Amino acid sequence: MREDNAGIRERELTSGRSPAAIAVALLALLGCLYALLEVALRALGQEAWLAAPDTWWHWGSTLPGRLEPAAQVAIGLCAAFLGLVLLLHGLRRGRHARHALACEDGVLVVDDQVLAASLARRARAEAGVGPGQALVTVNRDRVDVQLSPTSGTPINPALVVAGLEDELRTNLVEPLPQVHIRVAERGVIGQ
Amino acid sequence: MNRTPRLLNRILLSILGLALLACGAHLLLACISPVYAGGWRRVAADVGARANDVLAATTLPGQRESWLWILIAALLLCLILLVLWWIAVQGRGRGGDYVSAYFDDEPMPGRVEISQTAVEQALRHVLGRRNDVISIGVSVWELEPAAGLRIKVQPRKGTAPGPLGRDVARAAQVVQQALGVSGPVVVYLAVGTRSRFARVERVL
Repeated sequence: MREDNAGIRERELTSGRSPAAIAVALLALLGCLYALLEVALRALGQEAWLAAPDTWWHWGSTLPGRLEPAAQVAIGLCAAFLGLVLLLHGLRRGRHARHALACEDGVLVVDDQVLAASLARRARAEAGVGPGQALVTVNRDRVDVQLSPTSGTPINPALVVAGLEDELRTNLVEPLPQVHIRVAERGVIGQ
Repeated sequence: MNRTPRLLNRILLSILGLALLACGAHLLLACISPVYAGGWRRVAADVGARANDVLAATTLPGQRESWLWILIAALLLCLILLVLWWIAVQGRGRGGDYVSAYFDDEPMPGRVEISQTAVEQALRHVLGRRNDVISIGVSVWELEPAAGLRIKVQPRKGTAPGPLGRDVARAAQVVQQALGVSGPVVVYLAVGTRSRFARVERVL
């Protein structure tokens, strides 16, 4: 049951690469359909539609051929770039913008924006500023907080950081992210 | 919780990516380096001559074309079917009923089916009225050995997700006990679509 839940959590936190797989499969399908058409025409002894398989092989085997060098370089670069993108899709972990929270009764997964909203509410309460003066971004292992103090009332950053760490601990975020705070030099008119 | 074949996706994407990368590098090298292009032409001419020999050897007397072409066409058809299967298998695994069990040892034998909607209503009942939740959606997923429950909750902005999520998970646990089933539960606290498409991840 425990290991099962770990597998499910990993599935919820990372991408399954379905869109890339479907796109690549559709391209492969088109290529295969065209090849099937030409091969079938050839097998039946009919005229080729665009070019017979021999003609394709001839173009490929005499490579620089009559093709414009610039065009060939462009095609090569495009193919290599697409290949690199696909390779990275296959090899990278592909995290969604989500975090896992500890939970006894199941798997608990939270969008980063939900977490950021809760942290922003806490930061506003700790710093005593109005809405619009706290901006929180949640990344994989760090939380960035930007505060604009109200003119004339200084903010104690340590207090805010302590409050946010307490909030992260209440939510049981695993693993616990680091809190980085930045207080703007200039204050704004409070709301 | 779906049953997308993730490992297969990744392996196929990596292999195709490597192949495309090799093709691109080959095109570039053939354009840039005359030595490489000359070598490639020699190899390609060799392979082409051998393929022509094979095609000539497999041509039946009285026929114009080799029967190898028919074989290649059949292989291509198989490949197309495999690719179609690969597309069809993405995101699969959504189940209909949460419980569907046949009891034949009871005085009145019969089948019990509990739908997704019944689970959702039971969950709402257990959770009660909460003002920190905007919407709740329950979906059932076919998993081995027991069906899985995925509960998508859209909380009100600024709600602490930990306590809310654990409350929902506990309520799901209570519902499962009431229904007499056990299976994995996923609670997913999501942002609404309106803020999902917002320009920056800004929380005001």
